[in-house]
This record gives sequence, structure tokens and C-alpha cells, in this order.
Amino acid sequence: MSFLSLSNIVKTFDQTKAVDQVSIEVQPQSIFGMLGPNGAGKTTLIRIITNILLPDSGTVMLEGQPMNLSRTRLIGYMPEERGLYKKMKVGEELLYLARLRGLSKAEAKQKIEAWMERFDILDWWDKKVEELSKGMQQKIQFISTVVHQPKLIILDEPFSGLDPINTNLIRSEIFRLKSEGATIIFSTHRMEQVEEICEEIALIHQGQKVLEGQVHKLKQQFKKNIFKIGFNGNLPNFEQAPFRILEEKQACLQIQTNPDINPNEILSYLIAQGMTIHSFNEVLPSLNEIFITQVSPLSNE
Amino acid sequence: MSKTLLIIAREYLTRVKKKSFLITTILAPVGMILLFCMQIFILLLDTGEVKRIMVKDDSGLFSHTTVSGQTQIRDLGNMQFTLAQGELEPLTSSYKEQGMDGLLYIPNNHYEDNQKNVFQLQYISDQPLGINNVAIINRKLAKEIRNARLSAANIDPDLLQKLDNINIDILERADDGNEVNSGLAFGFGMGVGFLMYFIIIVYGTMVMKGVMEEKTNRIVEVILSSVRPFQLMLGKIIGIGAVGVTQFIIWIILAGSMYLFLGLLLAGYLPNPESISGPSMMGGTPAEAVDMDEMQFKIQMILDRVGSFNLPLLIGIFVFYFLGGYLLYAALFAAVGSAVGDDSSDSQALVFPITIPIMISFFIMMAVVNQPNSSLAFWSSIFPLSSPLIMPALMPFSPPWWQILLSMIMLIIGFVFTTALAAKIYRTGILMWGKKITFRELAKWALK
Repeated sequence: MSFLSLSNIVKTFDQTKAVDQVSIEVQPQSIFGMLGPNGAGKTTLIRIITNILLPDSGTVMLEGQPMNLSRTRLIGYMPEERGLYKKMKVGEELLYLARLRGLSKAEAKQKIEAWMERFDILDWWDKKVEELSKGMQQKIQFISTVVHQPKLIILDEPFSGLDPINTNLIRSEIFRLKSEGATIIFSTHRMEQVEEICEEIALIHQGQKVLEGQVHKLKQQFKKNIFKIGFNGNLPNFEQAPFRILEEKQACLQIQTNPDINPNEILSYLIAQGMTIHSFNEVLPSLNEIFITQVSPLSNE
Repeated sequence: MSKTLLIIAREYLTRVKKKSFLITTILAPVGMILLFCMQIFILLLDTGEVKRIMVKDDSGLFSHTTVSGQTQIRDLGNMQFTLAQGELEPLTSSYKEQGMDGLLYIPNNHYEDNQKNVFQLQYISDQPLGINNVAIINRKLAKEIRNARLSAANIDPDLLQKLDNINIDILERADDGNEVNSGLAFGFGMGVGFLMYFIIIVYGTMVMKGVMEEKTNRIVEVILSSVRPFQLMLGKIIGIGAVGVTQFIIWIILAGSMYLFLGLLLAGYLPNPESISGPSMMGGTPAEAVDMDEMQFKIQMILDRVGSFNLPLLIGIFVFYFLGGYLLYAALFAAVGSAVGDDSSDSQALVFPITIPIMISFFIMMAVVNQPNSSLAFWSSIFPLSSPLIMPALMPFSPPWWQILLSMIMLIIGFVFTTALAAKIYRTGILMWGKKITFRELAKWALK
């Protein structure tokens, strides 16, 4: 059974359909990527999941039950445009947000302190939020998102504006939370960021889901049978070769074959031609490329 | 603890704990009192520099003869008088050489002649005499002329003053036996109405700013995934209302202790009212000389009348309309705040339709305290947008109980209605970014 299940969600603002018949299934304890360019409808979809907006039609089921306000405690949501009360003290603000999520005061305090200790920022408790740098504020924001141990964590553009050190910190926290049982939804337009994090993705474009599936399967599905070969020696005559040459550089060759040809055949052929092979890689399409190939026929309609 | 309570607590505590709250709460009244004291101080000092004036008094009215037979003039206000000797002509050019600022010439003019009522004096100087000094000289001379005429007619001035000393107090009674007093009720009504106006504008704006803050820094998105928009809006309105109540309680305590303190401090040191009988405190226009007896009589009258008000009822009504009026308008302010976001010029345009009824109510209030039984007074005390200002102002005039009850019920219906309306606008507006909102859209959201 899916952990989160959206079926046929429709949301219309004025005349524009922000979300149009979108169905998504997210498996428990997985990292799911919701990808798409800006304005594709990702944020609207997230707001529907978090119960901030109600869909015009369609249902949202969390753990097999319909979503409602009393169950939002199960969700931790970090919006794209981070927001905190600037004038509040870090500790008070985190306490307030955690208690809004339904934690008791003592429980909230204990958990916040644990998180602040983990990030080594316990001495920020009495600092005002506005005194912190942007990256520091992002850490606070992250703590406020996960402090109530949500089963579903939704992160909208989680890495935007983060330096590499903090990006790694957040990334490793995400994996840790997943290993502790959380399900994570990433929303981003920067697809290269999530390729190695997400197990499954859905591509959203103009309010519609254009593609979904496991990342490695999608890559297989959209691969163009391109191989990159590192070699030594002179290039033989390739007139009889079972492939086309796409690019020929010094000691590096890119070729494209037919889908029905086994890579072993190519290797055998090359070796038979007397080449010394140093590397042999299949070039899989990036999510970005897949997205573009999927979207361009649509937008050209 | 329910989430709405949490929100109320945050809205309340973050504001009350701020240094600026303490500063405005303590300093605003202290500032007002200082300003008031300063005004009195300046009046007592009378900023105008001392004028030395030479008086050529041919009438003999301005000067008087002492027991020892010398002729003298008493100084008045900021004017030091010196009696001139000799002819007028040379004096007009020589007064300066004698260290004088001007020359006042009072010709002999048959002042005791009752047929004459216009007299001309001359003042020669290169500087104007000043409006206050003119008034003082006029008063002094008029008094002397009056006394001269009285003695010419063989009337004893003292006897006349006793005859004149009549104070009339019209005791107005409503037909149900309640005592009313137009003057005092008028003052009370104006004061209360002004206070309500001030409260609604100041705290309404605070609500609007708070909503705008949440919207512009996007925290609203996080909060709304835990609570309903209505809870957030209501929590903010109630939290800020509680700040207002706290501020007023502090002010009442401050005013009470200040009153006691000042009373102790000033007891016995109060200046003689006669010495401040120059320009009035209100606007610098020359005031009538304050008659001590009359003043005491009036104060006593006011104290008696205040005692005749049903104070607990008045305070109860005032608190009810304060809360009702605040809730009604704060909801509207919250709706506007949710619709505008960070553009403050937008907010001014959208806030206008809210401030207009408050301002109109204020003007109506000033009119109806003069005519508390008019139909304007009745209808404006029933209509929920104006009743928070009008009804408390009408209370001293003892309106019938059913009118008060009807007004209260209408106000409750009114704020339930505006809150529902505002909640609908708020729910949509708070999540709408980067778009200029028009009235038509607001109406569409409200009616959805």
C-alpha cells in the first residue's frame, strides 16, 4: 500500500488549471522527487497535500486515510520561500512552531535542544532570528520542519541558497531521517540535485504529470544506447561496425548502437579490431534531458 | 493547550515583551503629561519679554494715588509701566532715550459719559504691543471706566458685584427621572468617542501589520499546515486586543497613581488662578478673568454630576463597545492585511474603505452629542459600523434600555458578519503572492 496517495487532483485558480488530474503514489520510507519547472504546479500540489489548500476534486490519502487538519501533525513542510518570525528568539520560535504541530511544551523543548545540539547551535537559543545569517536561518527552518518527527517530510527546494557544507549536512540528515522511517518528498526544478537522492520521481509540467517512475528505470527507458569508450592506440576502420560514431576525440569515442545489440558484442568487436579498451560506459540520460524530451513535444502542440 | 490559545499567547507575549511596548506604554502618557506641564509652564512664564511702557495718562484712570499721595501705575502681565511727565509731543520721540519700549497715551475723554462707547488710545512704538498685552490693557481700562461710571451714577461697585453674583444651573431631567447634564455629557461623550476612534485605528492597524508580516515572510505557509486560517486570524485579533487591554489597564493604574502623586506634590503649591488669568490655555485668545467662586462652583457641579452617573454600568458599556468595535474592525483590517502583502502603498488604498466609516462615525458622534435625541443619533447608535463610537458617547444622555440592547445585538451580529467575511478574504488572500489585488477580487473572495 502506498504511504501517500493522490488521485485525480484538480485545482483551478480563476481560469487557470494549476493542477490537472494528477495522481501520485509515494511508497513508504522512500525519497520521492516532485520535479518540474517553476510554475508547473508543484507548490499548489504540496499545499494540497499539506491541507493548506483543498482540491477542487480528487482525494489525498495518507496511510490509507483521507487527509485532514488533525492529521497534519504527520507532516513536516519546509516551503520554498523560507519564513520565520524575524523578531522572535530562536528557541521561542522553535518552541512555538513545534507546539503548533501538537507537541507538549516539555517534549518540544527536549527535542529542539537535541536537534540544536546535533547542529552544534545550542548557543543560538536566545538569539533573535534576524541576527542569524541566511544559512543559519535555514538550519532553524529545517529543525522546525522535522522536530515533531513527521512521518512525511516535504521539502520545497531544500538546497537553494545553501553552501556546500550545509547542503551536505541537510542531505545526510535527510538520509538519516529516512533510515529512521520517514518518507520524504522533494520538490525542485533543479533536477540534477535530486538524481542521486530520489528513488522515484514524478515530472510535473503545466499542472499535469507527464512522467513518473523509478529513477533508474526511467533512465533505462529513455536511454539512447550511447556508449563512451576510452581507448589506447589507433582507430581502426569502423565500416563494418555494429554502431555509429557520434564523436571522436583523442583516446575517447562516443558511439550509438541499436537497442537490440548487446554491449558485449560491441566490446568483442572493438577488441577484435585490436583496440586497447580503458573504459566502457553507457551514457544514461540525465533527468533534465528526459524532462526536455518529454516536454518539448507537449509545448510544441 | 489549543492551537488558537497558542497563537493568542504568541501574539500577546511577543508584543508585550518588546521594549517598545514598555516604552510606548510608559512614555506616551508621561509624554502627554510633560507636554501639558510644559504648556502650563510656558504660560506661567509667559514667553513674551517684559515691555517697559511709558504711560501718559491724562484721564487718571490708569494710575492711582497711593496713601502717601504718590501717583503710581500697577504693572500688568509683562508690562512695566512708568508714568510720563510733561507734554505728549516731546515724549513721542524721547521715550526711547529713557529706556522705554513704547509710549501709551490715554487722553482725557469724558469716560464717565454713558453716551460714549468708543474710546481711542494711542500706542507709539517701533514694535507691536502684542495681542495679549492689548487685551490686558483693554480689560483694565474697561474695568476702570466701568467703575468711574458707576461712581458717577452713585452706585457702589461692591454692591453691584454682589447683585451680579448669580450662578444658574439648569438641572435637566429625562422623563424617566434620570438626571442628565448636557454640558458634561457632551464632554464625556466626545472624550469616549475620541478614545474609541483612537483605539480602533491604532490596534486595527497593528492587526493589519501583523498579518502583512506573516504573509511577506511566508511563515504563514508553515503555520497554515497546522492550523486553520480562521484560527490564525482570530488568534492574532484576540492576542492584539489583549495587548490593548493590558496597555489600558497600565494607563489607568498610571493615571490613578499620577493623580495621587501630583495631588500630594502640588497641594499648596498651586499657583493662584489670578496669576494665570492671562491668555487662556486653549489657544492664546484672551480669556475672561477667572472668577474663583464661579470656578469652584462649576467644579463642584461637575463632581456632583459625575457622581450621578452610573459608573459601573458606564464602564461595562464602554468595555463592551470597545471589544465589539475592535473585533468588528480588526477583522476587516486583517482581511486587508492578508490581501496586500508587502506593498504598503497598496495597503493604504485598501485600508481607506475601512477608515472612512470610522471617520464618518467620528463626525456623526460629534454631531449627536449635541442632539442626542435626533434620528441620526438613534440610527447611528444601532448601525454596527458606527455604534462602537456613538453608543458610548450617548450613554450619559440615558438612552432607553431597548435602544442599548438593540445596538448591542446588532454589534454582535455585525462583528460575527465582518469576521466571517474577513475570514473568507483572509483565507484566499494570505496565500496569494505577487499579484495586485483589486476590490473586485476581494468581493469575489468574500462572496465565494
